[in-house]
Amino acid sequence: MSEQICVTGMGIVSALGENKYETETRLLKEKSGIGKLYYLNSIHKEIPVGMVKVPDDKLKEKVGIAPNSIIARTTLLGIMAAREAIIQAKLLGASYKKIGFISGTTVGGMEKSEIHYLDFLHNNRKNEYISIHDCGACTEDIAKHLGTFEFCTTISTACSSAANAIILGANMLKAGLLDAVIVGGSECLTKFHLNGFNTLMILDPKPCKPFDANRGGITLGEGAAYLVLEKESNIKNRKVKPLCILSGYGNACDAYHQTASSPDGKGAYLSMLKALEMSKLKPSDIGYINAHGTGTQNNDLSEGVAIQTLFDQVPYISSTKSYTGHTTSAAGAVETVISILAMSHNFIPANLNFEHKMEELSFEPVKHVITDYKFDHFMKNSFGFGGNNSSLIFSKHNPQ
Amino acid sequence: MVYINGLGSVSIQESIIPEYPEWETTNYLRCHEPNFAQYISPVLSRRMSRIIKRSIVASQICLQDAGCEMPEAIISGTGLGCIEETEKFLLSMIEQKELFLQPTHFIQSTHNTISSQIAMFLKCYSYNNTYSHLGTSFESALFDAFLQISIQQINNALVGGYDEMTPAYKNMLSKIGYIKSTPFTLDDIKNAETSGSVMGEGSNCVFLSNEKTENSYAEIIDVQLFHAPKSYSDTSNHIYEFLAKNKIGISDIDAVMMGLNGDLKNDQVYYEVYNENIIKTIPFMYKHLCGEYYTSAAYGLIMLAQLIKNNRFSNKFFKKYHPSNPLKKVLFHNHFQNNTHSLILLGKC
Repeated sequence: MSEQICVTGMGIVSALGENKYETETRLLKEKSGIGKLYYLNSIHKEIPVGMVKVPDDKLKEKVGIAPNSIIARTTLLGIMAAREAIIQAKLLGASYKKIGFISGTTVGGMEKSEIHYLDFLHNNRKNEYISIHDCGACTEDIAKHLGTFEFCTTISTACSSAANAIILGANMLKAGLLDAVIVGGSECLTKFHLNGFNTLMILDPKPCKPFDANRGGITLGEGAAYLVLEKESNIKNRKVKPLCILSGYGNACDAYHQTASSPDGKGAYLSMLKALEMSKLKPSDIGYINAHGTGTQNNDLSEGVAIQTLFDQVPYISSTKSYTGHTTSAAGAVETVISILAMSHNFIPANLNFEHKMEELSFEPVKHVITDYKFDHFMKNSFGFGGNNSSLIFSKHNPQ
Repeated sequence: MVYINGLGSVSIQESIIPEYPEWETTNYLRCHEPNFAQYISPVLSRRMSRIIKRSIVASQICLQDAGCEMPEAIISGTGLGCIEETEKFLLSMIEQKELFLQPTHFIQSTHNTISSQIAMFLKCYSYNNTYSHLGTSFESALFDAFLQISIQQINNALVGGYDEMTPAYKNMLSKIGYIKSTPFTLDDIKNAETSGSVMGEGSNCVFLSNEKTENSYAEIIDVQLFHAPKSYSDTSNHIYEFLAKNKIGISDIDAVMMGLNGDLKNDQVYYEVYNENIIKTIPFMYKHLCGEYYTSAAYGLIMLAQLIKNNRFSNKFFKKYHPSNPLKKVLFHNHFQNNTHSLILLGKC
């Protein structure tokens, strides 16, 4: 058996709070983070979103960055979440030579570009914002505020970006190329994608209700989350306890449509199957599925069909996007952290706002938080535009 | 063992084997558009943006060259993604004050549109990923493919670097010093001593496989990226370690293909690192053939693969020197702002 990939630290910032503790508290109290659009100057004030309830200047203060620095909100959220992960993993005290940083984002610095774009085009003003526009520039800026890295790259597969960052990090550890790797994603709300999803008419005018027969679409969110991954042999000499292990992962392409999922959920089925095969687990071993569950008619049907094809008995399932909103490129990591908290502390997060079972599906999601429920393995689905589908399986750690 | 078995390119050049026209004096060159109809039906083509069409053509040429119908992975690098579509949606959003927007441009704006459109075109359900990390976007994709083949998760992969350079983005980049303020010929960047480069664009693919074929161009012995070196000697150490890991020394390297682009600061890194003490080989370069853009390294790798296989290129390919002996081992070294570096070690098959 190949060596286990351990999670030794994690950090999260989302509409649910600024750290793991706030996140878990709200999950257990069934308090959604979805609310009003605070810090984005859009005309669509009526659309609910899951915002991090801290403006840029306060974020800068919290992460110790000068008030006048030119920095994207995506970057600020990323620094905050990655720091929490690094501290938990005691990475700063580790004598590691080769640490990697792999981050997922798609909007990058767009939230600043969309403010200054006319200046970019017509004036010689605000030029300092041009070079922070790119996805890679955000990752570099986050990295710069965290420490020294041997390897640093950015994945941009829309809503599965963070999940794919986790996969690359795990592969690099397996090949022995790094001592530890920080993986995840960061994404702030922008007018660009708020309007983009709005033109597709897939934003729910009310807080999203994933897997509900009357679901009305996505609620967008923002946030960042990162995991620290290390090989088990590496942490034996450090006083760090694995939180869990990454036991399997799969990436497959739906190859169906740029923004829609196939009716039979082929890509979703394949990514889940690949993850199961790698983990050498049976579907019945999975105690919880944290679904991609965006709340659109299309995704929830496609994902649901794929899940019931693969699982004879569908395990407890919920979409925690009903708490955080869809944090797009960060979602894979945000929802993984939520699920690890759940597995570690024996609860199943609720799928808020669910009322009516979908006719097409044999199962319904968990309506209310279930406590005192122990499970050893969970699956996290993350599906993106273009059918970029990825599934991850995490398991409780059993020392080898 | 990993081999390059196929190449595909849409670039500012008319042909995949570069020609050496007298370049017009400019600081911005756009792609020579291929005959799209030869590869994509008009029905499909109408719905595709320019970069998607170019990238599908490049991937088709590459897969045909490799004799592969269905790759086991499609891994892409793009610095700017579908910037033309992004600009269109962004501008209409701003000008129309968020009202009456059409979704078409948004749908095609995400960076992964290219990789997923290639998958849709092929009906390829396998691993699909997109890297967008400035000047090492393509090498990140190549690294992922090489890694997965090495740990036997996949047997082959279509790896591409795709970027378009719109006039608006080019103007933005010139404001922040990426582009030469005075027009240059591309050929002139060989000996440039000013800041900025000449902008280009392109869609370039390689097909990697663990199987050697008659068509194999070169072997990829190793791929490595490193980050934020503290000094030139730190960079040299990374190179030494990389070569040592592959059980060779600097004297075994017949040539180094460098990402020289005519920008004084960019080029200085190579001159400092590869000074006489380290390596006697005179640099090869490629960016004067394709222009500079975030994924121009993909073009460089294609050139190098052809060079290793055929060993026939005109003098214009090199900074000063034309190899007389077959190239057995070549190092490809590119960096972006001396912050992210990529090393690719290639060998003759």
